Order: sequence, then structure tokens, then C-alpha cells
Amino acid sequence: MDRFLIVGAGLSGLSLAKFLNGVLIEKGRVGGFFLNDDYPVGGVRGSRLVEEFREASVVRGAAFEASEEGVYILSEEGSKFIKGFVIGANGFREKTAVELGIFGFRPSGIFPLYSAWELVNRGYGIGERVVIYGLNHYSLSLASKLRASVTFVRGSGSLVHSEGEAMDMGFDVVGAKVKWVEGKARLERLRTDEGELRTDALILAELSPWNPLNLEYRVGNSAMIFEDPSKIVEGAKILSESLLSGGKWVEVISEAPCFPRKVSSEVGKVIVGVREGTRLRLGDREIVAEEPYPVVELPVCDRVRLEVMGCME
Amino acid sequence: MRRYDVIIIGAGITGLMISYKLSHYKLRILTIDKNPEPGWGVSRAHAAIVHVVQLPFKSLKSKLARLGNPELIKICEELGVRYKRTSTLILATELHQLLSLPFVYLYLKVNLRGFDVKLRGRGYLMREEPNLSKRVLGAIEVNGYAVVDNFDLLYGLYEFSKMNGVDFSFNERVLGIEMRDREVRVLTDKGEYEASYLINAAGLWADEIAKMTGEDIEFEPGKGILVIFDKSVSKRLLAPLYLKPDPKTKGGAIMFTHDGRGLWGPNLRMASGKEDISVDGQDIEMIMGKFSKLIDADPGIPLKAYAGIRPIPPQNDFIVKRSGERMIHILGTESPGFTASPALANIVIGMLGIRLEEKEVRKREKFRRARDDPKNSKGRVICLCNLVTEEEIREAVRRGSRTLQGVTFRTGACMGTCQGSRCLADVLEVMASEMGVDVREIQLRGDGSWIVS
Repeated sequence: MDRFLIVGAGLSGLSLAKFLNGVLIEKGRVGGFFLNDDYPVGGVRGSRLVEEFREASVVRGAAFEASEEGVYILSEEGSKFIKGFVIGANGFREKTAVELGIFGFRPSGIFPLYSAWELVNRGYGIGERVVIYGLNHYSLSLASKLRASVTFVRGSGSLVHSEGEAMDMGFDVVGAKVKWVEGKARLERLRTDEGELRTDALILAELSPWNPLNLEYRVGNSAMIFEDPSKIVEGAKILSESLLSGGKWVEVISEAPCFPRKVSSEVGKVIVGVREGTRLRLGDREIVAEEPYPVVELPVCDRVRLEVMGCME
Repeated sequence: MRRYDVIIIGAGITGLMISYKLSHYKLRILTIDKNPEPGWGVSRAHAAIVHVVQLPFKSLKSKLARLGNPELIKICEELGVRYKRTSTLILATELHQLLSLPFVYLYLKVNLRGFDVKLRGRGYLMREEPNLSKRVLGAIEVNGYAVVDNFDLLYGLYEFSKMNGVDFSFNERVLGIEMRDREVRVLTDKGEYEASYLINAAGLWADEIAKMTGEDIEFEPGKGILVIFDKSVSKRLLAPLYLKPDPKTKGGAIMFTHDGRGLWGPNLRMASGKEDISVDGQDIEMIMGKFSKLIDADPGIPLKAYAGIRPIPPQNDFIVKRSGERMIHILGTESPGFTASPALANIVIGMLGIRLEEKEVRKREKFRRARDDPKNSKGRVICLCNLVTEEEIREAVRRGSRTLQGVTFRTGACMGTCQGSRCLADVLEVMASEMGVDVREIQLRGDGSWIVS
């Protein structure tokens, strides 16, 4: 096997690089979102895991083109081609306002989640009355750092976090859809399907996996939205074991988020992006998720169908 | 009071094109605009297509577009502005449209002398454009189109004019005009000027400038929405065939940008006012419904929808007219005003009747972008989606941009798939460092549009 090149040095890239003894390609800081994320999930802090995996070897530069042979990167030293087996760890992207069905005139004060996260961590204020569209670990972690009033508009992407958790932290939660933004220079108000909200900042925090290099092999949030940092590491472990095992590939056909979609028969397990209590059918077997992001064992075959049957309340 | 040979009101594509052309001569010129940067009015939000077909062919706008087409490409070459040549496929999807194709072809062939027009069969279309819908039965291909980096051109015209002696004043509103025998006086919210000639190229606001001189014209503000996707689905522009064309619009198309992103639209509907650049869900539904029938492919992630406003005059055509001996109005510069702008500028300069004495001019330094040739570039990449380097952001500031929007328009930072998620903080910090200010002072587009506190 060639050396492994992992594009992106967030938590998923760092952990994969450790398991595969791979090389990371990173244009900015090592650690990604979890570098500054001290808000725990199930008692685990992402920032601690980042510290644990920081020893990996890093090549500085922005990957801009990939092939089966390797990847081109651009940096202050110029561009170069690095040979290797390329895996994407680019993390999430925020859904755009058009995808979310948010229209109107776009004044200042609308931020994709990660940009707001970066600005807040650099010591800037992003608004006094902040509305966050999308309740998940990442947006909740941002909210915990804001010195502002925060209202969550629930969105649909959350796996782990209940409304109660946000409310316990003192935030308002509205079950609605943001439809329209208004404001001349700076954002002034939002129209939702449940009424108006006065605000001077809107954070778009509905997340999707991001795969800018169109790579077949991906890890972490570039493959499936993981809100739990320990599951990001577990996912990287499953992928690394699959790549190193040399076993036959098993394909998982699933409507629910699932990682990896192809896994070695020697490893024979995947992580499913559902909440605790979800009933799943795996081939002819039915199981109930005992925790969020359960790891499920696959039957021995070339292709497995995974279905969500419902939720145990 | 400062005196000029020519004052131009409006730094949109028309005003800038006149500035650019006059900057080749020994003249004192001032261009005034109410916006903070050039091209932020009507010229900010259109498709940046160099057009060929504009009906009716006998209209002034159609003639000027055909005349302006080759000159606009030449100016892009001279200024080092990015553009891509392409063609349009006018697609027949119904049997009656297919049957009428030979007649439409002949009509275009006769009226578009100098442009290559071809009939295309289904086999050719399926081979050359594999994403086309199986419903497409045939097409007419018209060559001579191009897609331009709009802001590179607008800023290029501005930079060239400025370095060759044209004065620019932004954030300045014209409040009154006084016509005298030997000069024109212009009163603004910042002061007073005197000029031998005054040109009204104020775009959407040109009717209001005209009213200051007693001219009576009223525009309908027409709003067109464009949707931009992360990828393109064709090598050519794809337009449905209309057998009853609307004189107010070309009807939109599936297009792409010079950077290869998909660009769909525009539609046309009346705006509620000149400031109405809002987009709603119906616009998107309408555009998606109309154009998705032309292809059998996923258009990708819709990154942004934006609206442009055009001034539609009562007669649906450009108007170029004088007020007295010393003032010329350019009114109703709707689409294809972008393509027509060089020819429009030639007409206006000819009408001035001014003695033009050529001078040596300095060339504009091309804005170098890593993404145009990444394998032979270097730099600290700030925007991953559009491969924008720190140096490009600094260069945008050095060339005059003081707002986030100005920098993003010039460089493409924050305008890629992640919409600034990964680069906004760095862009602001690099801008602040180059400008020597605190990040908190940077605004989105001026007028209190603060970003961080």
C-alpha cells in the first residue's frame, strides 16, 4: 500500500493519521473545530482528543486536485504533487441559505457556523441577539461561548442534543423554520413560519458532509455528521482497520447516515447516525440503538441493507 | 469649486466604459457614484454574458449589443480580464418548435451577420452535451458568446481610468444640476463642480438625474433573479426556444460563470422599488421548474440566489438623448447593456463633439489569481473553495477595496461552496492588517453594515 495522505487535520484526520501512520495535509491550524471545543459529549471533550492525536506528521498546504496517484497542494513554497492514497477529512459544510429555503435581502450579520466559531474564538463579538438555525453539538458549543442572548431555531439535523439541554443552558428554543431575513445594513429581524424574531446575527448551522475534492474515501464529518468526538475517533479506527485488513469489502445500503458505507468483512461493523432508542433492521435482524451513534455488527455477506424502523419512546 | 472637461454621473459598466475610453485623451474627467465602490448598482448583479441574440433586431439595444460584442472581448484582453468564449444552444423541446427551427435559423442567419449560426440535430447535441434532457429534439447554435468575470472587468475599467488620470468620487450623491451657456454645474452632498460636459450614466437612477434637467421619464424597475450552483452542467449556454419572444427579456438560460459554476436565470418580474433586491422561494421554484426540464443532471448545491434590478424604460429600448448642448443622458440601460457598453460609450463620446487629443496611457496590471494556474502558483491559501491566497486579498485592498464585499467581489473569497465558512475570519484579519485598522472597523458594504464587534 502507498502511504496514506489525509486531507484535513481536524480530529478525524488526526486520528486516522495516527491509526494509518499517514501524512496530514492542512492549510490552516491543526485541530479543526475540536481544537477549541471544550463542551463535552457524554463526558468526552473533543479538545482532549485533539491533544491525544497531535503527533501526526503534517504537510502545510491547500489540497486543490486529487487523483488515484496522489494530491496537488499549494502553499507559500509553491505547488507540489504528493504521491499516496488520498482520503478526505474536510469536515462539514453548512447548508446554504438557498438550500434551507431562507430568502429575502442579505444584510450583514449572517454567518455560516464555522466562521462564527472562528471569530468568537479569536475574541470578536458577532451580535447581541443571536439566532442559531440548527441545534447540534457544534452550534450548542458555539452558543456556550457567546456573550449574547441566543435563540435556537430547531432545524432538523440534530442527533444527540435535546432541546432540554439547550434550555438548561439558558437558551430559548423555537420549533420553526426561518423563511425570510430583513435588515438594511445589518440584520434586524427574521420571519419564521411561527412568527418574527428580532436579531442582529443569524448563524446557519444545518450541516452536511463536505467533499470538495470529490474523493471516494472520506472520514469524519466529510462522510457523515458526527456530533460525538469519541465516535469520530471510532469511525476513523474502523476505516483504518478496513484499509489495512485486505479483506473483502461489504457494502451497506442505508437511508440513515452510516459510516463507512463500505467496510472490510474482517472488520464487519459500522457506525449508524441515529439517536438512542432507534429501532434498526439489519438484513433479517432487528436491533435497538442503546446509545446515539451505535456501532452495529454486520452479517457476513457482500451487501447489507440497513433500515430505520422507528424510535422507542 | 473644481472644474472638469467631463463629469460622468455613475460608475456602473456604462459610466466606467466612458471613463475608460476618455482616459485615453488629454481631458480632466470626474466620475461620481453614490455607492462605495465601482459597479455596485445595476452592474453588480447580472449574468456577465457577452450576448449576441437580442430581439427585436432593429432596436438600438440589439444593434449596440452586436457592435459592442467584439469590442468588449478586446477590452477584456487589453485589461487582462478573465473571460471564456462559448456559444448558446437555443433548444427545441416540442414538436412544433422542432418544425419551426429552420425558419428561426434563417431569421437568425440573416440578422446576425458576422456571427456563426448552425442548426444542430439531436445526435450532435447528445454527443456534445451529454447532460441535455432526452426531451430536446434539436437546436440552433449561435457562436460569439462569452462569459466574463464581471467584477474583474468593472474594477479593471476603474483601475485603468484612475491610473490614467480620471478622478473618482464614491459615496457622493448628486443633488442638483444647473445648465449654463458655457458650462454645467453639479451640486452634490459633498460640494459643487463645474464641467464643460455632463454625462448621465446613473443606471437605475438615471431617470431621477434626468428630472433635475427637466426631462420627464420614468423607469419600471425590473427584477431578475439568478441562482448560482457549485458546478456547471454544460459547455454552452442552454436557452429554451421561445416562438413568441418577450421584448423585455431574453428569458434566461442555464449558464455558467468564468470559474465554471452553474448560473441559472434570470427570470423577470417587477420590483417593488429601486432598492428591492430581495429573493423569494417562488423565484427559485420558477427558475428551477423552467430550466431543469432542459437537462437530465443534478445541478449541484445551490450556493446563492441574488437579484439584479434593471431600469426598463417605457419603450423597452435604450435612450441616448441630449439636454441642451452640454448634457447627455443614457437611459434604460437594461440587458444587454453590459454587452452594448463599449458601443454605447462610442456613441456618447461622438455626441460630445469634444476635441480629443490622445495621450500616453499606462497599462493595467492584471490581477493574478492562484486558481487560474494553481500548479504554477504559490501563496498562503485563505479560501479553499476558490483557492484565494493572502496576497490576493492584500492586493484587492491595495487596489482600493475597503469593504468585505469589495474584497470578495475582486477575489472570489467567501463566494465558494462553503460560503465563507472556512475563510471569513482570515479574510477579515488579512484585510484589517493591510488596511492598518481593527477588524471591528471592517463593514460588509459600508453604511453601518458592521460584521464583528
